[in-house]
Amino acid sequence: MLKTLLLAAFALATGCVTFASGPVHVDERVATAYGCDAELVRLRAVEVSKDLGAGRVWVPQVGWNACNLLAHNGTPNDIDTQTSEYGRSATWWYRGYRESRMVRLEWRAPDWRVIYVGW
Amino acid sequence: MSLPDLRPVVYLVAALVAVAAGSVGWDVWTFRQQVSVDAPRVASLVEHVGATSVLAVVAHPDDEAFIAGALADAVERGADVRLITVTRGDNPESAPPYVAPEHYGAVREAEAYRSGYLLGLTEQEVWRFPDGGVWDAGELRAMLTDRLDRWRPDLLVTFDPASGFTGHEEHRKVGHVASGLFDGCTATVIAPEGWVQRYEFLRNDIIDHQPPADVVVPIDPDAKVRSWEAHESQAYWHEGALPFPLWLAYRVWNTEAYALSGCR
Repeated sequence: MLKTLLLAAFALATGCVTFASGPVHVDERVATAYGCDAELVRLRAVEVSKDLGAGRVWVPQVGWNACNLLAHNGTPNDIDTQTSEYGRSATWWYRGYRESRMVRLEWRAPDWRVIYVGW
Repeated sequence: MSLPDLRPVVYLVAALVAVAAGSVGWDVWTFRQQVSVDAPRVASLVEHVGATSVLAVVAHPDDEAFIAGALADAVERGADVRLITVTRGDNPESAPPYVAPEHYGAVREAEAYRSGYLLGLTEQEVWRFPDGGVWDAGELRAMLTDRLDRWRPDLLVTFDPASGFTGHEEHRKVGHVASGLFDGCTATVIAPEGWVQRYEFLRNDIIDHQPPADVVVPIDPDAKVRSWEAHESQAYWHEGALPFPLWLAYRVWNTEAYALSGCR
């Protein structure tokens, strides 16, 4: 029993734990703000989660739209938005174990597009 | 059978270690002399001038790293800290070989936002005046005036118009325009004379033009290093402008110097 507990504690501390995959969390307010239908995004999230191994995450790709990003990676932990004479852009932050990963999006009518991925 | 006498080897190794340590110590001491600025030391820039709302205006992504110590301190003390970066830093001449020129602006812009996020800024904008190109001065003035009216900072931090810290023309231009538009308290970052003289590419006779520093402030080396490290595509620059790796360099160069105008 003690050995199991110690092993579990070690695994948690070192991050050597695999979790069962499932669809990512999609926040309705974020989906709506970025022009997505939350229900459709959730359905897509279920689909893409089937292609993913346990404990793995998708690496976002430049060119994805915000809805696709939400379906693959879920709601970010933080969002910064910028509006200037050059248009609208946003930075989505996903907090990882050691660092924050960033995805930059730009409004390119008719939708938000990923323009940079710092993963 | 007796063991060989290892004492000569031990003495040799000890001597080599002592020489290496002495050499590093000498380099550290020399660098510390080079980056020291003769001005009164104060605990905090924002505390010294009584500011609670700071606007920093710089030319390129990574320029904010020159003032990251003061910005991080302002954030730490609860001030609203905003940053404008006037260009995306997309001049292809500065692009590392692994970034395609058409993506370079997006990469550097993202690095600027990463740096701002790590510094904990209230807000930041990266504008798109051409890096290395001709700027529409009227447009720049109009945009800066709009932000000054909207954000009402009580401290402007920017480059010294005469030196631009490194002599870079766009640093000087940004310092000139920003400080010219703002009639409140302005802090311009001052380069240590010894550092400028150490590197051939920095000289540009800037030392003859920049004003003396009014204050020297201590910095959090980790904040400074985080800000530089956010600009992965520019690693070559600080590798060429510092004698040590970042983590050591900013433990030795652990201050920033500013000239003040219009401050109480």
